[in-house]
Formats: sequence, structure tokens, C-alpha cells
Amino acid sequence: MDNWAILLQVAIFLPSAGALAIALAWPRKPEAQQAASRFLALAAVLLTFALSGLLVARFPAGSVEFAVSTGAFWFGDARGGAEIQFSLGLDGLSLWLFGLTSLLMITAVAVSWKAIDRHCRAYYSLLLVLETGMLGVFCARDIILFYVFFEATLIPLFFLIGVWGSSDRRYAAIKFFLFTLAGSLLTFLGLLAIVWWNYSQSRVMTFSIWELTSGLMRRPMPVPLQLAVFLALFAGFAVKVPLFPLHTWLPLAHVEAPTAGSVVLAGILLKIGGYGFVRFSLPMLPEATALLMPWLVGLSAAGIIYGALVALAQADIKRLIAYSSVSHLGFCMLGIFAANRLGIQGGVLQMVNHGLSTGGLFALVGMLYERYHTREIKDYGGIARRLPVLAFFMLLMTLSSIGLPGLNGFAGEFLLLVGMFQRAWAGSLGPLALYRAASVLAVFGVVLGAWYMLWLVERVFFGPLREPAVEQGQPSPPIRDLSAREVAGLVPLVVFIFWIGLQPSFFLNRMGPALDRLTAAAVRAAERGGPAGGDRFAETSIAKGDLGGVE
Amino acid sequence: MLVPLVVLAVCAALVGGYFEVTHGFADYLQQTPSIAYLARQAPQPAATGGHREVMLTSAVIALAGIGLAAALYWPRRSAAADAARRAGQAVGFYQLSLRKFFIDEVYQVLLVWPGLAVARASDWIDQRIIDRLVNFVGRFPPAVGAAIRPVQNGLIPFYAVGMVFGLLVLLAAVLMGWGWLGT
Repeated sequence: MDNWAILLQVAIFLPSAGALAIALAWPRKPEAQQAASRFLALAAVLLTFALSGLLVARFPAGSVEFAVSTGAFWFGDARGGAEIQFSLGLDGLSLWLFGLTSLLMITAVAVSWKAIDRHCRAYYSLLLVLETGMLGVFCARDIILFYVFFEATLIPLFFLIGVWGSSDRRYAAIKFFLFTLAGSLLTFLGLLAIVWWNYSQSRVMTFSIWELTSGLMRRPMPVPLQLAVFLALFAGFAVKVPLFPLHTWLPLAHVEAPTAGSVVLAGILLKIGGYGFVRFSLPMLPEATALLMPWLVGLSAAGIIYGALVALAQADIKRLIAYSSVSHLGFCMLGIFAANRLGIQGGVLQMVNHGLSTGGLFALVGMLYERYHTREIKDYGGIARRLPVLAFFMLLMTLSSIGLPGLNGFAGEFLLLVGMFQRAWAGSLGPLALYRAASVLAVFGVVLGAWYMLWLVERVFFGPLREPAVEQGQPSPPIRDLSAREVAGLVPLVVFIFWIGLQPSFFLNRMGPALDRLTAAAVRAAERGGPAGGDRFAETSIAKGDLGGVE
Repeated sequence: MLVPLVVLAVCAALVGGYFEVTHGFADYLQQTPSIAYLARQAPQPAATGGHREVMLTSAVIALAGIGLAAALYWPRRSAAADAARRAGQAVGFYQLSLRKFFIDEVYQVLLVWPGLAVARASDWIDQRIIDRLVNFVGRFPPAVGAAIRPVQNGLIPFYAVGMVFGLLVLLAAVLMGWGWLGT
């Protein structure tokens, strides 16, 4: 275990240490306690960001893994070989999602600063515990550890929505929790089936994700079992993404969640679904992926169009952006399930992009709500005159979200669409008519995306000034434009929106090798158009566990 | 407005004169690789000077238009306003032109309204069908619980009867296994 591995562990658990510090914070007076919680939380997220920034910056381009810690026995039976390891590491798939998490947490704390005035200690503690869960889920190299972090993200968010949400928060929190938990229990069964199959074939009880990956590439499951396990994993991951029609918890949770909850939920937690598909389903169940591809592509394309159409009909700004997430995550999944190099790279990059732009949009809606206490589009008009700085950031995030060339959204969307078009036109297998329809619908979805987002900006920020009357009885402070704190919460996102937009290769180069290695089997299965004898996998360098075996 | 127009007019004349004399524009577009490629694919006859007839025709039409306008409105400036008012009341080409040939309205009817209608229908489906379906599935566990809950009624005799029945069933199963009760 080298120093980087230790640094990674520190970065993951630093937020939890911060949470502990906040929980034990000394001041008795409520105001002092609030201030202490805020500043401790800010210090924790900034320090975590510094550490993870260092790790991400030092990730060697062209390599598969970095900062890997192994051999730490966690629980199980060490002598019997059933060893669940506390093993963490960064690879190309997790790298940017890990970085995004630590970045968005700064925004999350910045938008909570004034908005949260009840139970500050508990709030910031939960937020930081959530950060540890999210960072850990992307770095876990052990399948059980992955699942532990996966579920650990549920509990803090359940309380964040249920306690600090708006009027219908309990219903939203319970729906979110049950929906996700029901799916993820099936996912757990699927993960156990993977471990069990590998054990039954190789007589080695391992929980290491990489060992399982190469084990299943060498001795793949029979296709019916693959299909069953794929569907079990799908239950959890598809709810998390969310894929149409399993999305109904999302708008509700977003509307009711406090702003930081929405930022984190849209920005990071949804990505765990896509991450799971690329980490487990594609590498370990390639033939099932290839067989189910028409369904997966169809669902993704349906989600793109459906999410966009429903977004278009919304009267509530936050609901609109929540449905836009359904549409955008449909894009990410379309790229991933196109199961070729460009599609997968575009899909994973687009997950990061969506985190930046939609995280920013939710933060901005929260800032607007703090000022006027309404989220109804019809209450607003011409706000750009009153709040020009907020309007500027809103327009920027909107343009990023609809994929303006030069901003991040374009790079990801373009790549994944090219990947899908390759699948539909350059390929010769599978239901090509369906793939072609899905490609065309996806492009149409880009147009719808521009429609609902620009129309939202036009109605709220332009035209004659119409300010909502601030509620009676509430002390109405003069409406001010964004404060330095709020701008500071948004600027980091803007930096990466431009960076990814202008130099996407910097990000793609670092994720490429790991993605190639993870998805090689699925890409090949998709090119064959379905299952074949397992022998052909055994010949590949990847199946032999050759770490350098990058295509 | 006069000065900018003069500047534009002078520059236009200069540029036109420059290209007329030098033919500097003749091969300019060929420097764009894709256009050069197209030109190689479908060779055009080399340009010979200018297209005199095109230039002449357009010049005659333009001068005729200027002349017509001058004949109509030069003697009486207010005639222009009168004509506009009369045309504004009438239907026809002037109205079409004034309203941008109703292109915006056509888009509104053909694209925007149907789009919004489909969007509202999707929203309705989301609220009324998909979400209700989800909640309906969510009712199953409580419903099953409610169905079997009466068994736990807290009456000791009831539990005792249950135990006796269970014992009988178990006994019957064991005896059947030993072959003492028929098959």
C-alpha cells in the first residue's frame, strides 16, 4: 500500500471525521453551534476536495488503476478464503465521478449556508456522512464493500429529505427509500450470484471486483443465468439512474429535498446507477448485455423523449429540472448500452457533465427560491433585470445542459450520439431499425432539451419584470443578487464546464484505458450480436488478467 | 443614418470595382478543401470574365424598381403613407409580407401547439398512470399483511387450537411418510 492509497482512504473518511467533529461540537448556544457546524463542514469539504484534487491530478494518464489498497482483511473467514477486503482504489471509470463528488459537496455546503437554520449539527453531519458514502461507492474494489457504501448513501439522504425538505417531504423520503431499497436488494442477490458462480467454477471465494471480472470473463455464466443476474442488477441500478419507467420517485424527491439534497442527488447519486452498469453488468455479463441491448437502448431512448416531454409541461422549475434529469440520464444510458467505445466513453463523460450542469441548475433554483419563496414559473418574469448575476449563471448552466459546443455537455452528448449512430448504421447485427429509430429520437431529444430549458429561461428571466410577492407576514429582506458565497459555490462548476468543453481529451484519456478494459467483453459480444462459446473470451489478454491488455 | 449608408455604399462600390478589375474572387472559394474536392468531382467550365446578361438583367430590374418608386412617390411624399394604409386594410400580398408570410404562426400551429399537447399528455400519463401503478405495487405488502393479520388476535385459546391443528398436520405428514396412512 503506497502513500497514494493511504491518501485515498483519508480523503474518503475525512468527511466522516468532520461529521463526528460537528456532532461533538462544543458550543452550547444555538447560534454558535450553527456557525461551528457550518464552518467545520466547509473545512471538511474543502480539505476533502484538496486531497481528492491531488489524487485526481496525480492519476497517471494511460494507466488503469491508481492509489490501490489491497490485503486489508475486513470481515469473513480469512483462513477459509472467504475474505471480504477493505480494498479501495481509483480507476478511469471512478476517477472523475470521485472528483465530481468532492467538487459538488462544496456547492452543497455553500447553498445550505443560509437556507438551513434548523438542526444544523445533524444536517451537516448527515451531509458529510453522505459524502463518505458517495466517495466510497466509486472507489470500492470489493463487491461487498461496494454494496455497503451503496446502501450507506441511502440513509443520510433519507433523513436529509425527510427532515429538511419542503411540505410533502415525508412521503417523498419514504418513496425514495423504498423504491431504491427494493431495487437494491435484488441487486445484492445479483452480486452474490456473481460471487457464487465464480466460486463454483474456480473454487476460489473472492469478493474482489477485478478478480471477479476476470474470473467471469474466463468462465462466463451460461446465458440464461447471465440474463437472470443481469435483471437482478438492473433492478437496483435502473431505479437509481433512473431509467424510464422507474423514475417516479425522482421528481418527487427532487422537489421536496432541500437544495443541497437535490444537488447531490442529481449530481452524484444518480450516477451510481450508470456506474454500476459499467462496473458490473457490462464486464461480467457481456452476453446478457448484448442480448438485452434492444430493450436497454429502447428504454433509454424512450426515457430521453418522455423525460423531455414531461419536462416541457411542468409549471414548477424544480420539477422541470428533475424531469430533464430523466432525459439526460437517458442519454448517458443510451451511450453506455450502445456498447461501443465512443458510446461508453461519451456516456460516462456525460454522467460527469450532467452532474456539473444539473447540480448547478438545482443550486440556482434553490437560490431563487430563497429570495422569493416560490418555484412556480408563472410567478416570475424578467428576473434578469433584478438579479443579473444569477441570470448569467442560470443561462450558462442552461447552455451547458443543452450541449452548446465549447461547453461540457456538447463533448459528452456528441460522443455518445456518434457511438449510437455507429451501432445503428455501421453495425449489421440486431434490430437495426430500432437502433436507428432510437438514434433519431435521441437527436430529437436534444432539440426538445433546448426547447424546455431555453423556454424556462425566457419565461423566468426575460420579458417584462414580474416579481413574486413575498409572502405576507414574512420579514422580507431586500432582494439582492448573488452573494460572494453563492458565487463561490458556483464558480468551481463553471471552471469544469469550460474545461471539459474545451479540452475533453484530458478527461477522456484518463478514463479510456480502464473503460476499454472493463467493457471489452461486452463490446465484443455486441459485435457478435449475441452469445457464443466462452472459449473465445479465454483467448483474450483481458481474460488472462493481463493488466496492460488494453485494446 | 446618412453617413453610415454613404460609407457602406462607397465601400460596396470599391469592393465591386476591385473584384471587377482583378478577378480576385474567381478562384477564392476553391481554396476551401471541401469545395475544391467538389470541383474536382464535377468539373465546371472555367469562368469566362463575368456573366454579362445576368448583370445586365439585374441592373435593369433594379433601376426599373427605383424608377417606379420615384414616379409614384416623388411628386407627393404622402402617397407612400396612403398606399400603406390602403394596403393595410386590404388582404393580400402586402399583408402577407407585413406578417412575415405568417411563418411564425404556421410554426406555432404545426409544431409548438402539438408539441405542448403531447407534453401535457405525457405529464398526465406520468402522474395518473405510471405513478399510480408504482403506488399500487407499493400497496401489496400492506395488503398481504392486512389479510393475514387477523390470525394474530391475542386470544390464547385460538393459538392453542392452532397449535393442536399444526400438531395434527405434522403428525399426519410424519405418519404418511412412514406409510401408515395409505400412500
